[in-house]
This record gives sequence, C-alpha cells and structure tokens, in this order.
Amino acid sequence: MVDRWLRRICACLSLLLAAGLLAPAADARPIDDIRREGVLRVGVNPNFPPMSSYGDDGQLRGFDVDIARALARRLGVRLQLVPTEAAQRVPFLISGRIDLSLGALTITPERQALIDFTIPVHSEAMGVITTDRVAAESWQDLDRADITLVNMRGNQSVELLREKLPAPQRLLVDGNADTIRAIAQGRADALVENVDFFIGFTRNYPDIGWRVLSDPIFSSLCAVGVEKGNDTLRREVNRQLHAMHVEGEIAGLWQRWYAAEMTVPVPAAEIAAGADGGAAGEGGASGYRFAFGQTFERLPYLLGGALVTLQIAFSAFSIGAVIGLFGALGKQYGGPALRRAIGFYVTFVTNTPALVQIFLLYYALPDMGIMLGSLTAVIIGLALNSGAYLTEIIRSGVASVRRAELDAAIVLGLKPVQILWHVMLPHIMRTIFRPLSNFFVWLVLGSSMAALFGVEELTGRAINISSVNLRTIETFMVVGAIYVVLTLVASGALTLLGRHAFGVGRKAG
Amino acid sequence: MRHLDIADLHAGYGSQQILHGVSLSVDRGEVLSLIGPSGSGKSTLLRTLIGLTQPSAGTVSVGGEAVDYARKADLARLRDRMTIVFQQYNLFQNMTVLGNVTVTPVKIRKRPAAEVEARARALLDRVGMGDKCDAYPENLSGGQQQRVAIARALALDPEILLLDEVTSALDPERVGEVLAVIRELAGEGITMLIVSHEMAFVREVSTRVAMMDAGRVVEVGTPAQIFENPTEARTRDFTARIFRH
Amino acid sequence: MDSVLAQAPAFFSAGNIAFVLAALWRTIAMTAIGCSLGFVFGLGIAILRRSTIGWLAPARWLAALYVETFRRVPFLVILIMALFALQPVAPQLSLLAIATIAVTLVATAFLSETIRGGLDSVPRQQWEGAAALNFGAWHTLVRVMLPQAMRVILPPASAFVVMFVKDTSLASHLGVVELTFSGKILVNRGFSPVLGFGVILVLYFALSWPLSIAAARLEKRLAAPRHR
Repeated sequence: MVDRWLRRICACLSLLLAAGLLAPAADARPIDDIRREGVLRVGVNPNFPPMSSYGDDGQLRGFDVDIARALARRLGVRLQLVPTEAAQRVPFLISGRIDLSLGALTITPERQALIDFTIPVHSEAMGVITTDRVAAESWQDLDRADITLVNMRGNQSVELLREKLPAPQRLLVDGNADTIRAIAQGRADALVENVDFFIGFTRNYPDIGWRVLSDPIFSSLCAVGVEKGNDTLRREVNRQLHAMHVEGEIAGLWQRWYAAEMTVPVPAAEIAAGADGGAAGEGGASGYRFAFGQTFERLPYLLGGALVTLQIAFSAFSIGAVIGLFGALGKQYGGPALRRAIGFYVTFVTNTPALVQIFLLYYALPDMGIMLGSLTAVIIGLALNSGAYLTEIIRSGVASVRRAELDAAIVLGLKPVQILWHVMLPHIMRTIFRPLSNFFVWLVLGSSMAALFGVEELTGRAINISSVNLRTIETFMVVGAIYVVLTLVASGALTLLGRHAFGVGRKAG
Repeated sequence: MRHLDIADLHAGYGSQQILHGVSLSVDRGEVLSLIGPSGSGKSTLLRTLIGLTQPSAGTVSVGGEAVDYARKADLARLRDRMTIVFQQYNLFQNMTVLGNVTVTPVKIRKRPAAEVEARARALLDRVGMGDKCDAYPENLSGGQQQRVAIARALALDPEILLLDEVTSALDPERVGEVLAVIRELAGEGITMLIVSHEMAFVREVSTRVAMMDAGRVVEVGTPAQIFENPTEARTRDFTARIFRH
Repeated sequence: MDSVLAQAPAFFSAGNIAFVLAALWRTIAMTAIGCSLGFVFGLGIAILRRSTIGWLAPARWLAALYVETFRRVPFLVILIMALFALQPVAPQLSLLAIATIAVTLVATAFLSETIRGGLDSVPRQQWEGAAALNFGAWHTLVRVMLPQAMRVILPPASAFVVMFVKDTSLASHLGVVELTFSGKILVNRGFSPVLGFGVILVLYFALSWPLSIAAARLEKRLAAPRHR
C-alpha cells in the first residue's frame, strides 16, 4: 500500500523531471553567420492575409513577405520563409528556429523580457469589425453583457480588452480565420482587432452585412522580433529598416497590400533611432531559465479549469452510458434492423477521430441552422463517442450473463425487474467495471480537446495563460501534474466504488 | 571422489528458509531417491542444485569442483553437466517437440544442427515419441509431454540428471509409461537424483534412498534398509504411512 | 447542401486531392513510426521493469514513473510540451518530427504496460525451464518469452495503434499538416465545413476501419489454439 502511494506521488513529480532535463538554449546566429551561410530565416504567419498567406500558386505572399524579401535582398542573402503561427513567434525566436519574426509582432514589456525588437515596421490601430446585426456606433457601445467579443489567443488585444471593455463575454479562438467565422456563424458579435489584418476574411462570407466602426481604440507599434542578445543582427536590420522607411519602400508596400495609408503613421523619432543601428542591448540574456511564479499565481484559475474538465467528462460519460446501455441491449436482444443500425453507429464513431466529429458539429451544423456552443458541441461529440465505446463495453457484460443463472432466477420465481436488478446488474457490473473506469479516465484526458474550441477547461486555460506569460513549459508541467492527480483520484475513487458497490476485485465472485 | 557432494546446504525463498543444512554425497552412476513428507525440502533441494533457488549457505561440488552459484560462469558450467526434468514438464509452448529437444544443443551449445536433429529423433524414438516430432506441446497428453521433457534432458548428455516429481502431475494411467522410460535409463551410467512419491518405483530403481524431513536429510541407506529396517523414527512413521495406503 | 454541391468541383481539384493525400500520408507515417518506436522502447521498459538486477532499481523506478505519468496526461498536453521542450534543444526538428516524438512518448508508455502484461502472462515454468537449460537472458527472452507473450501482446497493442491513428488528429494543433489540419486549411480557404471536414472524416474511416477489422482478425487467430 505504502509502496503504491509512493509510486503515485513520484508519478506526479516525474513531469518535472522529464522536462527539467531539457533546458539548454540554442545559440543565436549573429549577422556574420547568417551572411556566411547565406540564408535568412524569417517567420511569417501562413494564415494572415494580406500580411502573409498562401496564394493560389501555393507560395506565401503579402506585406510581411515583401518586407522579408527586401531585408534578405538588402543583407545580400537568400530568404527562407518559415510558417509561424501567432503563438509560436516568440518560442520560435527563442529556440533559434527563425532569425527574425514578422507577423505583426506588437512591442510589449512581456515580450521584451524574452526577445529583442528592432525599430517599428508598422503601426496597428485597433478597431471594431462587426455586422449589421449589432447596434453600435462606436467601440464604447460594445461594453454590454449581451455582446460576445471574439478574440485570438496569443494576441496582445486579449489582455487589453479586459481593461477597456470589461462587460462583454469572450470567445477565444486559435486562428485569424476562426475569428471572422465565429462572427459569421453568430457565435460572436464583434471582433476588436487591427481591422486591416482581419477584414480580408470577411470575403469568405459575402452574405453577412459586415461593417467597421470608425474610430480606433488604441494604436501600437509592431517591429521585427530578434532573439535576445543577438545585437549584431538586430542593429543591421535596424539600419536596413531605417533605410526602407526613409526611402519610402515600407509605405509603398503598405499601400500595395492595404490600398491605403497606415491609419497611424510610425513616429519619425522611432524611425530615426535605427539610423546608426540603435542602442546596444543588455545582451547576454539568451538561454532559458525555469520560472514557475507566473504559473503558480494562476493556480486557482487552472484548478477552476480542472472542474470544467471533470464537468465535461461526467456529462459525456453520463449521456454516453445511457446511449451505451440502450445500444448494448438493442444489439443483444433487438431485431436485425436495429442491430445493424447500432452496429453502423458504433463502427463509424469508433473509427473516426472525436476531434473531427466535433469540428463537424461545431463548424458545419451552423450552416444547417443548428448552432451549438463550443462546450455543448464538445460534450455532444464526446457523448456520442462514449455511447459507441460504452455500447461495446456494456455488451460484453450483458453477453457474460450466463443462461443458467437466468434460468435459476426464473425458477426461483423472480420478476423480470428483480432479475435485472439482483441477478444481471451485479454480474454485468462486476465484468465491466474495470473497462468502464478506464474509459472514464480516457474521457478525462480526451476532454482536453475542448481547448481547441475555446472552452476554458484545464488545457484551454493553460493555453490562455501561457500565451500571455509565455511560460509554456512551466505552465504545462503544472497542468500535466494536475491531470495526473485528477486521474489518480478518479481511478482511486472508482476502484473503491467498484469494490464496495459491486465487489469488483474480490476473490471468487 | 564423490560425483556430487552437498555439505550443510541452506536455502529458501525470501525470508522463509526451507533447507536447514542438507548434507549428501552421491557416487558416479548412482540412482539416489529422495523421499519424505511434502514440505520437507526435496524439490527445493533439486531447484537449489540446478540454481533456480539461491543457496544462503553451504557448499555444492560436482566432480570435486566447488560451484559458486553467484557466478554466472560457474552456473553455466554446472548446467552443462547437470540438468533437470520438472514436475510440470516446462516444455516451451512455442516450439515443436523436435524444437524443444534440439534448441539447447543447437542454439546454446552451437552444435551442428543435422547431427543434433538425428540424435534428437533417436532419443524421441527411445521414449516412444518419435511420431510426434512436429506436434506442439499443448496438443500432447501430460505423459507424452513428460517423455519429451526427458528426451530434451537426455539430448544434453548430462552427467547428473535431476527428476523432480516427474509423475505427480500425470493422470494415473499415464504414470507407467514415464516410469518405464526412467527405469530404462537407470544403470546406464547417468547419476540420477529422483524425487518421487511412487514408493514401489523408488524401491525398484534406486541404489540408495535418502529420507528428508524439515529441511534436512535424516537417514540414507539402501532401499531395503530404508523401507524395511529404518533406524530413524521419522523414517519409520513415513514409510508406515505410505504403505498403509 | 447546394453550396456543397456547387463547391465540389473546385474542392476535388487535382491540387487539393494531392494536398489531402500528402496529409493522409503524414498521419499514417506519424502513427506507424511513433507506434513502432513506442513498441521497441516499450519492450525495453517492460524488460527493465521485470529485471531483478539490484543496481538497476533506480532505473526501474524512473521507468515506472514515466509510464504512470505519460498514461495520465492528455496527448494534447504532451504534444504542446514536446513542441516547447524540443525546440530549444533541436531547432531544426520539423513539426512532424516533433509530433512523431510525442506519439512515441505516449505509445512507449502504453505499449510498455501491454508488453509487461504479456511477459507476465508467460508461466514461470517456461523461464525456469530455459534457465535450467542454460539459456542466457537474451535467449530466454527471444526464444521463449517473446514468442509466447506475443499472442497476449498483439491484440491490445494493435487495438492501441488503431485507437491512436485517430488521436494523431490533435497534432493539427501544432500546425503539422496531417489529415485534420489539411481539412482545416481547406475550410479556412472558404470551402464549406461539411465538405472539408466530411471528406476528412471519411478518409479517417477508410484508414481506421480496415485496420480495426485486421486487428479483430488477428485477435481471433491468436486466441485459437495452434493446430499444425
């Protein structure tokens, strides 16, 4: 017993160990190395028109792509574009996977703690994209509880909006395209973001009455991200960006891709700072150090997420158990048509990923007029899955009831309900209890996919936290430990329940 | 020089000691049977001799060479000279009858396959299993499996053969066929240590009989001495109980 | 429905079909390589945990820790951790390689338990027999233990692989262009979600169903006693 608990406690610690071994940092490539190797690796967002996106020819194109081309040309090296999603810009820089990051990287203190910035390339002015369904003339009109704002994880605007527009509900999604889709499908009412960046996606939904509220809420500056301490590269890029500003190349490219001038121009003083390459950085701060403080601060938030995780697992399990019970009885005792229908359901569901099933429920059903919230869609999807798997599990239990036992019960004069309750059920439960509790643990772990639909359960909250504090490893180590504890407690509780209620695990049943 | 010399051997499983100082000497070519009540340590003695149970004290020497059971090389050399037939036959379920008999000479001792196979077929013929070479153990009766196990042991040309209750797991009507095979082997020069409850058989084949009780050898003598004129009270009780049945 | 039909010709263009098939191939590769490596490492862990050599005790302890942990953390979390832990160490690793490593990590944990169960199911008499016949550890494992354990190991192990084909869909979150992500990209390009995700769902089914039938056959065949 002691041995088992010791093992369990150690299991919780093992994530810490597993990741603790992996801490060294990659070296930044100074400008000389880049020139010598002749390749500049620049991260651009692959899904971010007109900044950067794949054209019909399968090549990346856009404002950022042209900036990257110009920089490579001016440095006299070949350009290698690395598709980099918004949340991966900083990690990719830290890891040295890319030399420079574009992708509208806003200059913020949190990011400055981890990476260095060049002089600004462009500004971003935050405005409101909404539809004619919503009655609002200025952004202040959106500060109502019946409004849902959609936003993208990892974007600076998330935290900013908590201050400026506290009242509305929030929906967090993963991609630029998902924000506009959420509004088009009526899941959200408005997007507060850089209008220029996002307006392109509205063309996918021509039937919606899109509109843009005029006055910007806030403007900030976006620069090129460089790995911390890589001063030679940063100062060289500064000089080139300065030249591109002065020569009007940047303004020209903006005009070309946005067909307008920048809403807020980049201040001349910021540009001038790049003339001589700019000040030297503190340098030498490269390398990753573990820091759990920012994660532990949000522990209550994470534990709240664990409750949502359990809520999802319980709901899906309960619904799935009902489906599974009827499915199993139908398959055992039903007619051929019913058996075939159940067989088809089980075969189809168990041979396709729950994730894609939920994609269909969440993204395709609205086109047919059925709108499911993200939590509802996930629970329904997981319940359908549970139903299929539990049908199989319960059927194996039903099939294990021996004819002789039933005959004995009938001879003893028990009524059908009594037979079901006193003879069949205990026997079935003894047979299937262990697979059943294993499945519940699977469901607890599987519910993490809800995060990909913006549900703020444990994994979703971890993604939210880490996209702001950029302490992904630390955050997920803590979350991994919470999952380990969660599943250990669940299995422990289920084992006790099984032992006391159905005598599972006792010798000789 | 004795072929097998056991002096003050102690052994057991974990904290539970079963052998409390066994001393026994066996001459070359001798057939020595171990008798005694269950739990007296007969099987444990054979398992300890072949190195499946670690001795905690005492010495074992074979042909005058002391065996250090903690040393792999000693253990390997010992098992080249001595082998065991188990109560549960322990045939490899994933190999045919022929495979079971040939695997050790060919794969472990690296002897030529053709030569080994010819020998194996001859041995299987001898135990009456020549027509079952390609059968798998799970399709054989217990008596057939045990005869294959004996052939497998003989294929190793052991100097010393340990037989651990080889008929205990068999149906009564199968016991005879296995005993017949062993009876044939006795007197062929192989030193044998037999643990058996078949007293008539023991009496017939043994050159000497050792009585064990509570982890010790209490009396050694010829079959006639042990069964008809034992000096120890425990031997008397035991044989009396056995023959009353 | 009309829009689905209207989009179908553009959707099933040669370029898109090649794109989706390449993604399907990545899904298969990720599962096959990850689970194969997982089987090999899982075998190593199972053997380690069954070993009785004294000085290996700390390694056994770590292995138990590893197995318990990686079976109790969601695959999505392991994927994200693998991404962020591996990038600093090996910046040139592709996202597909990182996802494959994550698959390997999880498969190792699960399959090691399956293999351990299989080895435990081989009766004690078998390895005692091998020991008495002077088989070394290697010969005992390869000639006696594994051939017999495989009958117990293969059915749940193949069921695990069939299960995991579907779980690799979570790698889409890293940006690995596997089957699910290819569907997402097509939908983001403006195709109807019914069409995009529907086709992906059918492709998963076409991949998983034959596999699960094969796994069920294998189980039936191995359960039957040998008659030759």
